[in-house]
Amino acid sequence: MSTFIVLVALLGSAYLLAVLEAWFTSGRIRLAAPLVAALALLGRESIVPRTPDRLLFEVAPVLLLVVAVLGAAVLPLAPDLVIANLATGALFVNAALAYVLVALIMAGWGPNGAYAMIGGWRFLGQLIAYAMLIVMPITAVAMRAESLLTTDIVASQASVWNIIYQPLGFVLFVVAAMALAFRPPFDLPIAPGVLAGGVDAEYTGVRLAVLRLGRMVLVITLALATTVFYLGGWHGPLLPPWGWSLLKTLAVAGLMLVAGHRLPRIREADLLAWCWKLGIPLALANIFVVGVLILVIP
Amino acid sequence: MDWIEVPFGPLFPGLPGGLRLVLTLDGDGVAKAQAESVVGNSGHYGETDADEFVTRLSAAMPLAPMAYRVLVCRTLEKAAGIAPNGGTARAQIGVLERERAASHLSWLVQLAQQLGLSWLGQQATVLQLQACRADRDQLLALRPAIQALAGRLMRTPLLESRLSGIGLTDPTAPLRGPVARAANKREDARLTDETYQRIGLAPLMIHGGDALARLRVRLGELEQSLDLIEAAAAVFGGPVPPNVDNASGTAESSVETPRGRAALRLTLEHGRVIAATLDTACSQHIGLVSDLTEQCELGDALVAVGSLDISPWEVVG
Repeated sequence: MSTFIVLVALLGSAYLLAVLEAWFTSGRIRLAAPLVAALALLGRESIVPRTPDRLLFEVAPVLLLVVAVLGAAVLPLAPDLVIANLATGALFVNAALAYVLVALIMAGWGPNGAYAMIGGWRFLGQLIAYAMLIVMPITAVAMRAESLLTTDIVASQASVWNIIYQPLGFVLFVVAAMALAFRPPFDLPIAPGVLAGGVDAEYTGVRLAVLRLGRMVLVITLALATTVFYLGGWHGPLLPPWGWSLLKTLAVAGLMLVAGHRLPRIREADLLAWCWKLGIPLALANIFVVGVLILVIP
Repeated sequence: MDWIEVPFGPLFPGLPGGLRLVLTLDGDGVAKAQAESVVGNSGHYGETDADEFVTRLSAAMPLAPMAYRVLVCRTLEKAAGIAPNGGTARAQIGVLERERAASHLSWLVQLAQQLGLSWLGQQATVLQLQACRADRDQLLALRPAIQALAGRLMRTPLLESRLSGIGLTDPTAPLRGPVARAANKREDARLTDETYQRIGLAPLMIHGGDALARLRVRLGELEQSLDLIEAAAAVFGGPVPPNVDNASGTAESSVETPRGRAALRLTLEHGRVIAATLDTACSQHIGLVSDLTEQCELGDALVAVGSLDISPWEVVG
């Protein structure tokens, strides 16, 4: 039952995010817009490019969706509403989401097209930038909870949320999450004005619909991870626990959307430089500060 | 990684339609670049009727039809020995500056696509469409919106670091228009125009010579165009082809189009144009593409090409 509820929550949140995105770009709230867009995509011919690597081409969109759902499988919406409460849950999120790279490299290589291939390789460069900034803030979160169980991590924030306890980690994690979800301004693998869609460029019809759904679910998974790790998960008054989790998740996803549309697309070289020269030292400092805080304020 | 040759255009989201770039990519870096226009023309025109020549040349330049119409009419007047009308000249400033403002707004839409700034694309598109259709008062009423757009754009975090140092031009290169003025070169055909001098034109020049400087010049010129329209104090009026009757003669004149100086040399014989040669800013600027893009990251290379604001229709020769 938990599996069904979490999947419905993921899909529902992804749908609401798509409504929000359409509102942001068109200036009008149209609740049916994502449904109409999805139906239009499903009704379109699904073109296969000339001489593709068929296996990679077909598997990539599905893999992206599966990876995004897998990442969410260990994230609790409520104390008893989690698909798999693994003892290594916090680590599992990171491990599952590492396969986003695999999916994008496959989507880049599979169609045998230049724009897609450049997009796929660009994401490899992006991974080198953001990867440490996903792991290191999670380390500090697990230090405070003294556990990798995601439910324990939420429980450890009953008195003070991690966004207060380790704000630096929160900022670094959200930035890295946006890069992982290739949201603007980190949308280098698709960069519409530079790569004409990049990894999306050669996909049409149902395959493109699955790819876009995977991307939306990935954003929701990362927003849910931010909620679990930094925003106290299900904690909050009045609303039921799952209500708070979903509300916070949508707020984080909305924040990513708003922040992304106000900034110009980052250059890959700048992203690498900032992440390694600034981000990683700050993440190390965060771990150190959290360590000291744990000793001083248990 | 093997080098790959990738075509960008003639229909590519971040580049003007009609421009074809072939980039040889070494990973995400540009090893070699070639640019060509698929809609340009030779720049040499054979015998034709004077009125028809006006219509044909302005129709051939869809991104700045009014500037080229003014150019042909002025050259025909000169060749036929017809004295220019002062009142018409002021009215022409209105349409030329309106076209410049609309063109710079259109360039902002392209920049927005390249940088992924959707809000800029939306707002600049709306303003451009309004500017294209506006009469004098309607255009002047757009000033607060244009100022707000420019202000918000320049306050955009990370924009300066994103554009600075990209597409750095060599000051000795044959630069024209906003590209030249962004490299602090006093290059503006309006400086030789008496009407512009009377209303106090001072070309906007900036040090830098990169994509950021070109953005600043175009934003500055957007407001300057409104100032000039206000100072000209005339209703808009496009040029009417002069009645050249049976006149003969040869003349040359130039006009500052939104992309820089365009010069036309024309020979008139018994009221018919028998030969004409056009020289445009875009013909010069397209030659800069390989120097500005080689050894750059792909995204930077496209921003550099975009910052030149090449109109493929105005590439001649």
